[in-house]
Amino acid sequence: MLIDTVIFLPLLTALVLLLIPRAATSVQKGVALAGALLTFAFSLAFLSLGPNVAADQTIPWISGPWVAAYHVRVDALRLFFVLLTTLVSVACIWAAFSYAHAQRLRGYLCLLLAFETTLLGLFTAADLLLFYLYWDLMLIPVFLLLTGFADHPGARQAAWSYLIYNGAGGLALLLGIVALVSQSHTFELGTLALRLTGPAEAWIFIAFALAFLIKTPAFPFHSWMPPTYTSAPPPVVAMVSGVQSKAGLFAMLAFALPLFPHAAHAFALPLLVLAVASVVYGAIAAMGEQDMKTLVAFSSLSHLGLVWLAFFAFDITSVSAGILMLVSHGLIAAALFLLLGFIEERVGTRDLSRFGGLAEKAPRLGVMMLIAAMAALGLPGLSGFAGEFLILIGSWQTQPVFTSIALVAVVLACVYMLKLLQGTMHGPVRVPDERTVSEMRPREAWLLAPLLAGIIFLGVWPGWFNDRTPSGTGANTIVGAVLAEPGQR
Amino acid sequence: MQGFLTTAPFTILSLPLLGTIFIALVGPRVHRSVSAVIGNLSILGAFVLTAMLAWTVWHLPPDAQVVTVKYPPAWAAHPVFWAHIPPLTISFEMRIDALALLWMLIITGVGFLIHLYSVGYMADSHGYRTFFAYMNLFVFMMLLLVMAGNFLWLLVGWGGVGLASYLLIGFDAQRTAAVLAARKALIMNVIGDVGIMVAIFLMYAHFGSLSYKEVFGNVSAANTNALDWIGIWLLLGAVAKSAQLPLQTWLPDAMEGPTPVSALIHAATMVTAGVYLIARAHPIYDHAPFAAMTVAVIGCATAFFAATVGTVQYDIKRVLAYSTMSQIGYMILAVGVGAYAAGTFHFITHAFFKALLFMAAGIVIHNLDGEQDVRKMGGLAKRMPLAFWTFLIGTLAISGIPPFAGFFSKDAIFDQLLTHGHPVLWAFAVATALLTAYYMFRLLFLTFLSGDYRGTREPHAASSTSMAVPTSILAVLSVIGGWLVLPGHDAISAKLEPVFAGALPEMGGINAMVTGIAIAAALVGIAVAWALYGRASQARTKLRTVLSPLRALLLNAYYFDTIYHWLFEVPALTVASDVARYVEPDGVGGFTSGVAGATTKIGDVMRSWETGYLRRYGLTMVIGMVLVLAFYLYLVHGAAAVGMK
Repeated sequence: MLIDTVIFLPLLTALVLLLIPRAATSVQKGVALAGALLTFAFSLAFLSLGPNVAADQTIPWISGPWVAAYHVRVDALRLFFVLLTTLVSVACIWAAFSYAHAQRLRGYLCLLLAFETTLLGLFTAADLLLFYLYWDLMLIPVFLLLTGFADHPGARQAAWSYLIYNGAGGLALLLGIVALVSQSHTFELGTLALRLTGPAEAWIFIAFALAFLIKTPAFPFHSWMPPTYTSAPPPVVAMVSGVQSKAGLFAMLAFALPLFPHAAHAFALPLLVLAVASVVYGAIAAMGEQDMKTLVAFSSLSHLGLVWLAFFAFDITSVSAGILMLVSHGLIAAALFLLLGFIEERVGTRDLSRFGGLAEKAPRLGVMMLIAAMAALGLPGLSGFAGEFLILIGSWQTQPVFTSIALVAVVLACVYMLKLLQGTMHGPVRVPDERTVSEMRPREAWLLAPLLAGIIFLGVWPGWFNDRTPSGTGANTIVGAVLAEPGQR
Repeated sequence: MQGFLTTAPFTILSLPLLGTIFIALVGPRVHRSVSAVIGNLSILGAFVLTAMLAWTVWHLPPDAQVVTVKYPPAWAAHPVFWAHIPPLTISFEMRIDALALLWMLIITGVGFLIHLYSVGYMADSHGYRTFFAYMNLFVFMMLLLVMAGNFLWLLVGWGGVGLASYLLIGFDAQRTAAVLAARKALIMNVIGDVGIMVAIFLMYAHFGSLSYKEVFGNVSAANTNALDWIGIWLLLGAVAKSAQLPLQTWLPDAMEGPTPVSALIHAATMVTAGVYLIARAHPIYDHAPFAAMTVAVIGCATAFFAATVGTVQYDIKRVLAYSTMSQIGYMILAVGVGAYAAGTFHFITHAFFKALLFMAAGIVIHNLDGEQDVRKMGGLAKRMPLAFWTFLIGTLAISGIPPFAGFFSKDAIFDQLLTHGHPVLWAFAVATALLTAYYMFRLLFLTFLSGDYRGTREPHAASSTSMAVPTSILAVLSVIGGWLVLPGHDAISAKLEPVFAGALPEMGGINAMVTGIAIAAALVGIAVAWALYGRASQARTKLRTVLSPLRALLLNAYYFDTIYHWLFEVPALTVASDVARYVEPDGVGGFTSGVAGATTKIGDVMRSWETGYLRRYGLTMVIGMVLVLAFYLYLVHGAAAVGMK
């Protein structure tokens, strides 16, 4: 019951919103935020599960010829993805209050809430059919938000780019699932214990991996990302980069690696190459970027590339730290994109060469930007470092060469994050068109505070996170299953 | 007793941190002086507690003087770790021993004096509260660095002091030069962080742990080659943090920060972290002769290099920056050859006299409204007697004139270089001592003597008490600080004995010839400085013409900045901006653009849908879902129909 409540409360809130008159924006805001907050509050209850207990619910759905069930589950692997979704959603829905067109606010909030439900559905689905449904449903709210609610001139083209790319990925995933189910006759993961071998396993794994590489994205499948991230309204991009970008890597760990262990090991090398290419290419592109949102978009490419490295290094530390990195990156990316939204609202441009020195006018904005940027550049003591360090110490043990190349990006991250931080906040005050830069409003500060608190907490005590996620201990077999040599299984 | 040993370290650590948090949260709501008081009291409290802790530890039996404070304790039912992904476990762990305690005493003691000094120095700054918040944050991070009980927490402190240094160099964020200097410092420090990370990865690979106890306990079982690599990577971190060759270029620029920052972070404490690191990791270097030799050579080269550059600079703080680099070179050289006690000793005396020099220089700069060019000074001895006399004491101390502090520590290093059998390094060290005396007295003459005042701005007369008192205290310490080690009485080695397990040769013995040569070198340096700068001199102009190519080389600090600019910065930024401008949109993105272009037509058709009514969007959503479902069912059943099953 709790799982259903958490998954569908946002959607229910969205439906309630539709009953509220279009003009009553303050009521809409109250209802939307209350819905998001309640969802978050309910999702916190999963924390009491303990590392080896899962909240699990199965309703039979299709009995033949292919068995499928409405099977949802919150376990140690899924817990923090659920929490990340509900937490980031609260911040994003709150941030959406400043949406410029009051007439369309209702639709905007509805779509954000619907997006939250699809994300929660995706992270809790334990049945491949259900998983696939959410995987494609996710595209719809984002597409509509981009085409209908973004003021950016390039948003329409970005929306199509997003839809086509991710649709293609979805198609690959679908073909993979179909091929898989044609052999297993069931979508149920628990019974999907078949061991495929040979070309079938390889091809299905490739189909899965392709979908996940596009969704994350990883080099060279990322070209939908810069336009989407740049033109989407800040709350949307915060949800896409903060939460949705984790879908591919989450699914890799939850589905693909346990299902196709032989293929995963066989294709580790090309995937490691793509991982490190993402890490380095993203960092270089971010260094050269003048548009602050595109800069952070490329930094995401770089940071998530590190998680690909973590998973395909097949070291227990790096795989487990990869989960930490995903959650940490979710918090950091959401915080950064929301902050950039506040900045763009104040100066009316994203071009780093056209403004600067905002910390002088808005010191609190400066401090929050400092924390977020320092976390992104991997300052020890913040969550970005914890994820990065634990990944690299693990991957070094099995893949020292790839890890060394990835280490170069640590230095580059410092270069581009300082470019962002100093370009926006420090130096002489420069603001285009005589705009007045105001200090952060309390709403803006409060909606960011939980994200920043999470960044600091996970940086100071990642062990708390380790003990609640699969880290090779207890009955958490996921990481163990991933790591076991295929021959010994 | 045991209770105090475990609670005191946490209290010492938390005081400065609580100070930062208090100033950040409450500071803006109360009078600015509250922030200064809190900042000062928290550091003073940490110093008093550190002194008590040191007193306690040094009264334990020698074999109990290495105290490990570890969380979780062994008996904990639910152990708590910083990271826990078996087999990797990283604890919250501190190690309190003489090495850490000496550093802690200096960090909190000199740190407190500099906080006190800042009350007056920063009085006109509109970022007064922020300044104290940052300074407290720095002290917290620096304490964390030296109190850490494993390499992870060392790295956290290491990165944290880098952050504090970055924030304080760029404290005056409106000035572009300060912003650029801050960026340079952080980037170079991150390069060093990566070095330590690699060293940690290697340690984990070889020892399966990051804890000092485990790593150092198993060092003798590891092979020399691996230890050499670990030592080299650690050295990269030390080199970046301590501004040694070849990562030294950030330190002179760091002088953009306010003078108390230069005194505390970029002279007395943070930049000596590299020395601490190598002394701390001494079991590794003891078993890694190649790495240790590299450390010594880099230290010696930096000492000499920085001293030569210092001879021609005109910015008073830059000269002091190069002298810091040079003196840290001595310390690195000392720990590189295994003279750990001598290196630590020089760290202590250097903290006294270099902080003193910066403070005295700060009084001058403060009274001249920010002027730092010595060509626009001169004749200030009469106008600022306190600054002059304290600067003179600092200069005598750094030049190695007995009985001032620097003499004893330098003499210990020279002596041990010879006893460890490094005559070449010793020769360079002595040449550096000559240069040091020369450029420091040149600076003294140019600033305080050497004719009349050459500037245009009228100097203010007095300095505030809060600046005068700590300066005077440090002046006294710069005189007597060296007496910790006298013939037959070696307080430093005695304290450090338990840390280094008796591997320390006694300091304090005076070898007449070694000492004589060192003093003679210093006197020659002073004499040359007097001849050239003590009074109006024709020789100066002549020399300048004769040596102009050399002078240009030194004025530009061997063109390191220029070389790095063209070798790294320009290519990297060119590649990056080309990737962002051309490769990304036309190359990788070209494919998508094509696809997107093809779909623009579809988009035109769709445009009519975007009427802004939610009904339409809702409808679209439903249609989309139905289509996806239908497509899906079609494929599943279609696949079955064609017999794929």
